[in-house]
Amino acid sequence: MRADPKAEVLRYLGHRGQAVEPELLSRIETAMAECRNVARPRRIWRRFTLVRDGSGLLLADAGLILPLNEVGDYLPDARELAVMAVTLGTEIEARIAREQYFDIAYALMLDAAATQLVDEVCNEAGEALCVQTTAEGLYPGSRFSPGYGSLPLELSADLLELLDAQRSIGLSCTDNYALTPRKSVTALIGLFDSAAQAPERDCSRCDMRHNCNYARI
Amino acid sequence: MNIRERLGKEIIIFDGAMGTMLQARGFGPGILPEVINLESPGVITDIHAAYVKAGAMVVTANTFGAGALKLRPAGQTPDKVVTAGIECAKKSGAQYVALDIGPLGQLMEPFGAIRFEEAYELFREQVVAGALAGADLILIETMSSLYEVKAALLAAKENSDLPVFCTMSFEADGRSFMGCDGVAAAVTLSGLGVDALGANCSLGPAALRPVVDELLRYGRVPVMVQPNAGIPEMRGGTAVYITTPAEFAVEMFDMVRAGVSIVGGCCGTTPEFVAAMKSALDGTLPQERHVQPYTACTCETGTVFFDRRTTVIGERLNPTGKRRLQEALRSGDMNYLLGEAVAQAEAGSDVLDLNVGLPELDEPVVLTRATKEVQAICQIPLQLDSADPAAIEAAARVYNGKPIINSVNGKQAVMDAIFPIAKKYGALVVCLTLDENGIPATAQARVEVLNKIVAEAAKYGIEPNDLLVDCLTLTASAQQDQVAETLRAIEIVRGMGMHTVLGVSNVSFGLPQREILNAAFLAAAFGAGLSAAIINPLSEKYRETVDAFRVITGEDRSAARYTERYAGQSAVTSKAVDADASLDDLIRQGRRDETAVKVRALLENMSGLDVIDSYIIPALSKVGERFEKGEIFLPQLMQAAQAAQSGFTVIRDRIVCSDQTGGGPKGKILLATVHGDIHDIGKNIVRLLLENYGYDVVDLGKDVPPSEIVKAVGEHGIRLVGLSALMTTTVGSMTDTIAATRTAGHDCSFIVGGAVMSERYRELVGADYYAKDAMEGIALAKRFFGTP
Repeated sequence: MRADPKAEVLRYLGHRGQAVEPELLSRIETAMAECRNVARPRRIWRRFTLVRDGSGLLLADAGLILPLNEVGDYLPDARELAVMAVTLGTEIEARIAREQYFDIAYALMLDAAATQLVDEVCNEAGEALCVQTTAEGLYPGSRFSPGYGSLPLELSADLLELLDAQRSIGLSCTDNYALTPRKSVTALIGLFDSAAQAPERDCSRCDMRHNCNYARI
Repeated sequence: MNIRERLGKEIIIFDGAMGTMLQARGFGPGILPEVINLESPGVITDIHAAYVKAGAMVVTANTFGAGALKLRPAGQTPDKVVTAGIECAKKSGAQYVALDIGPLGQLMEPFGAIRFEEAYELFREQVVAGALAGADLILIETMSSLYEVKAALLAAKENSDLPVFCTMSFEADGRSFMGCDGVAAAVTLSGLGVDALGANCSLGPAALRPVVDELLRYGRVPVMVQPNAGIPEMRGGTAVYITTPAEFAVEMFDMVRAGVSIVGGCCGTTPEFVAAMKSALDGTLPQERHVQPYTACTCETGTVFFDRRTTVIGERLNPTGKRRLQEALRSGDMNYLLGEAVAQAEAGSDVLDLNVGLPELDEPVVLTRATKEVQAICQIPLQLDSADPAAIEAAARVYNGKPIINSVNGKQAVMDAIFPIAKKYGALVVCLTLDENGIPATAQARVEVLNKIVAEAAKYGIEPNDLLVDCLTLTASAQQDQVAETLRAIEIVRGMGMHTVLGVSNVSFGLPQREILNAAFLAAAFGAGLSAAIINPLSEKYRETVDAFRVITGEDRSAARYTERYAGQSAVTSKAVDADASLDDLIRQGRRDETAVKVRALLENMSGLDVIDSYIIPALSKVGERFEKGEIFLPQLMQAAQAAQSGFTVIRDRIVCSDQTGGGPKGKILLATVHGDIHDIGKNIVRLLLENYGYDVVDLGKDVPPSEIVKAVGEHGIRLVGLSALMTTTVGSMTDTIAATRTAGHDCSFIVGGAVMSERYRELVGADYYAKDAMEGIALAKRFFGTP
């Protein structure tokens, strides 16, 4: 089931059931609308056949090996792997940066709206992928990203390379693996022979679960 | 023959894709294509030779990704890879070999961590190697960022004599990934002295056509197009280009008919495409182009045309007569300046004048920093304003786009200093109509000074279109007869087909109710033909004059904007403060404007310090407590903090005006997001709250190297530092910063915070305190300084 976008934005803003004045709620809605207006969402994915290679999974045609101790939880028995990247572009980032010098409360709302939107764009990409693969009898598992659970942040650089992401969607990363533009995601989705094999997203396995604004526990 | 001599005289045909040809030969995505120059040079030469055979006059060396950042993972360096790439290309027998330069592989500031100066150095390595290896020209291509193009272009022109061609990539919406459109690209690159400009990659020829038309309309140099072979269709995980060579050639022929004179192909194109173009274009000569003259300045995401719009240039980024700004600049704090910049942009400025001239500042350094920081947050062009040519040059260099330089005048020494800078960086120049003999008394004499300036500019190849004329405003109280001379001069200059700019506020000096006179003079100047007014855009009177004039000229079609702004006027002006609401309520509810009004009212009867101690601080404390208890959440806390801040601003302005020192800050805290980390919203929240609680904050910004923090700690005598990091990969920068500060012998404590931080990480990086949120940071600061 898909969460209500506004509820998600409130959650990113740290809302935990407090009373919210109608004026504030309406500003949050304005921020969400403006974010959709300013952002230029772009997405790309590519599918790779997975080959078990000793203690890792080899992405055929790509020369990249994912160590099993990093991805084993998510990709046991996956037949293929979809590598995905999405970004909202630099415009929304510039907009948030400017707003911080005018109205930082509204800047926060824009920032949370952008976080929600990038997640939504990922979901849409995932759905489009699902339509494509289920027609072929392959079932997508949950989406998971570098920097969460056992997947190292450093993997982002390799994924961007595989997607030629700078050229295809204008997404790259810094030496410290920060995605630029900031409102972006890289992700892996395993494609399985049956829906039953596809593991669900599970925050309880993540190292960051106690410290995470986004945890679903 | 140097290819420069053939430009615009004949159609020049480049080659097609290298990557597509390599893939067809089995080189997959796991291999860095440029390394093949060293490992299998014969393959590369064969591909070039196939293009030469198909009719390419220029082949593009396989050096697209031969920059240090992209080569590093492969353990290679630009000099070796570039040299090998040029050699492979030369062996193909091509008439001309282009050194190919693609994007760096990472985003530049402000969105990424690569600084302009670093980008220049990275490109310089490629240029030097390519020129040495014998390239005939340089092709800078597939660029999404105008800023990156500028760094590459300067590196090319300053380190070689080779012709430089630049093409950018635009998406279907007509903009690059960084938001640059064909207009801003053409205007900016023409000014920067490229030999040819254009578009490549991303789209097929038909889809690129609208952008190409923009480039043709505004590009003052030959236009080049290298499209993809259409948009690829994904078939079984690989991209398949479906446009045929014949279809491609038809589209390219059409573009040549429209004025394009350099053609080639990008992704998906092969020698067959080049051959098809070659035969379609056989015997075709370049169309003569008539680029309409324009007067325009740009930033990455926009262009301001002085002939299309009554232009407002915001004047407030100037410390003259502004104590707050002077204080801020002296202490190295950019936040006040940035706040003023955004306020003016929000108020409808088209351009911002930027001046940081204070005698005790290193103006080139400060103007450079201010230029970068203002551009990071305001997507409108800047007018770089300084009396110091070194500051003008430094700022024009790092400016992203085509700036305005303010200013030159008829003095020979000033023209000698400024015009070379304007030419090199393609700037518009404000020309003051005065010279060694001062300001001429008559309009005609001012025009004579202008004629001298125009003639001198022509010696540098600067056209009158790139000059903005300031006919100078004199003071009505002292030289009343001269006021009308200015208006007459504007009329004459406009009649010469040039555009004028004017600061109006001088006219009312020494008279009461200055805005009345200023607004009338502004209206008269617009009537005389003024193109751009340098004014305070926050002034209601000026805005009214500008809005009204835009209706009169027909710029504001159907008076739509005018109606939108003024139809509800009565409601706006009667925005009275709820008389019964207490300051406490206003702050709690985050009502900024009303808080300011209420504080002003309270100041009638009590001192600023009393208002702070009796009203604002208690209100803030209540809000803070409620946040800590979880009764309100972050946006509510921040709205209240901003309301409180607007109250503080009223009081602080009062104190600055009356020259009191006030209560003095409770302590000085340095804040920074650590090196490598580019997230700063959290840090900015902490800054606002600390300032609310009376602390003096030195904010060094984001991605701050340890050395800068150590330096600032020493300079400001800092005892408490707050460091922010959002990512696990930048936590190490905290360790480095803390260690460096302590090694330097500074006795100061560190609070750390940010998304990834925890008590465990605090211990790991050697910090003294960990703050889980902003309010906890405040509590720690209070405890540290022993302040209430």
